[in-house]
Amino acid sequence: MPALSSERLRVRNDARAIFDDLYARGFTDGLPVIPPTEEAVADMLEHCGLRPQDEIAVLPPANSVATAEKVAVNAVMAGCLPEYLPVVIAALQAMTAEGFCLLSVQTTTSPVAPVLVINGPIRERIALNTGRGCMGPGRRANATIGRAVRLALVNIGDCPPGEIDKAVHGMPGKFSFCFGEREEESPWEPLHVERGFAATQSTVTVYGGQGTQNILGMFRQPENILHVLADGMRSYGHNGYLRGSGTPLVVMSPGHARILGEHGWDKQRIRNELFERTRIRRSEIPAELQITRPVYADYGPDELCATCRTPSDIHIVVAGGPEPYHIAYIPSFSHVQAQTAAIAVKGERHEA
Amino acid sequence: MKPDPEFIDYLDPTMRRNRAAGPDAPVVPQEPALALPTLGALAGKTVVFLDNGWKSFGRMTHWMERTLRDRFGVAEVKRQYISSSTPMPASVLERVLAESDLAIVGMAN
Repeated sequence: MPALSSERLRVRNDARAIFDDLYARGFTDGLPVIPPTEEAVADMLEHCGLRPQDEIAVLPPANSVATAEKVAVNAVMAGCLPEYLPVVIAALQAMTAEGFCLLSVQTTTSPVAPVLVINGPIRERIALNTGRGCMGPGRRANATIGRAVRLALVNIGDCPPGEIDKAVHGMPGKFSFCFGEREEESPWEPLHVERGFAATQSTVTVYGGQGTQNILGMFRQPENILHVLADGMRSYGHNGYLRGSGTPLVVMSPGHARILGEHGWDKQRIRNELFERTRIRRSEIPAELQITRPVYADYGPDELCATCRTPSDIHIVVAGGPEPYHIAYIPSFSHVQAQTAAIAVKGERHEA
Repeated sequence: MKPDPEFIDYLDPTMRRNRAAGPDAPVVPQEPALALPTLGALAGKTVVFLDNGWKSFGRMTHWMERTLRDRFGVAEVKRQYISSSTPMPASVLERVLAESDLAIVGMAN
């Protein structure tokens, strides 16, 4: 068993006493956790071939070096199986890439959560839900991977909600927000291939998401599906319009994707259409400036404000149940640009 | 700690250390604080406000600018707009370093 350096804390061996103790110390998200015993954490590290002292990422606002040991402690608490740990690690690494602006995500007043989208063969191996109800609740991998990330952000990044995390309302997705792309039912390239990874490489792509907005689009014509979707996305109350940047995410049902694909719509054509339809004239937005200076502050009345910088910044993935009824739109927070990281699974090798 | 079936030991998930220290705990030597110039040393110098665009920072620095000029003899006060959530471009940082003696950064609202 590898030597672990974390402080040992002792509590009466009773489920309620354990939860009371961990909760009182501020270690939880308010829900019961699994006690991270030395044996459980060591097992998880050994399963993944990691040493306790391996450095995973630097997590703000404390700028603490998250070691494999500390990440595993939080993953055990969250209820992760050992084989989930590489996904948690990759998510933390993606989130600490410069373009993600994790310090802002951690400390903002906005209701923003890391949204984890998993691609590649690991989805099947860990029984990740990519289909009906993929955003929850009900599936262990989805629920606990996202939760482990949250616990790591709070405990290692030292960002307790209500204190350093200044979110005005918070958001249920801050408990956990993780799903997989349903690559097998998509007419298009999966997200990770679009972003330059081999199809056989498992990846996690992380977004700074501000909840989900359901778009009911029970149409059969692509133009009408995109019309209702764009109308739902077109709200200058979303942070994206404030900065004119970010990476908004459209989660198409496989049914909608099939209709669009059958009519010859590829992702870029859809992005172009959505970008154009979601632009808003400056004159439709109050002349008074928001208290943080918007990017459109000096625009003329007919200049167009956009929810992101370019059409390519609108990301599209396919997930969920098969009916072409609902589309989930996940607006982006501020400048956050989605980041993708490879999931390193022990013994796996991939072509570059 | 010795195993005791009535109790369970678990690992601290945080990076916090020295959770409790008794009177005999060793004294940890502290690094000396970064030497900052006193306000009096700013006479004749140039100060730049790195303005993150929040109105609160604008109001606060309006008062600070007057104080720096009137009370402490600062020669010039500049403003540079910065993004509130992305790193400053290297070219802007270099210009700020070249053109000013002190930068005051707007961190948040």
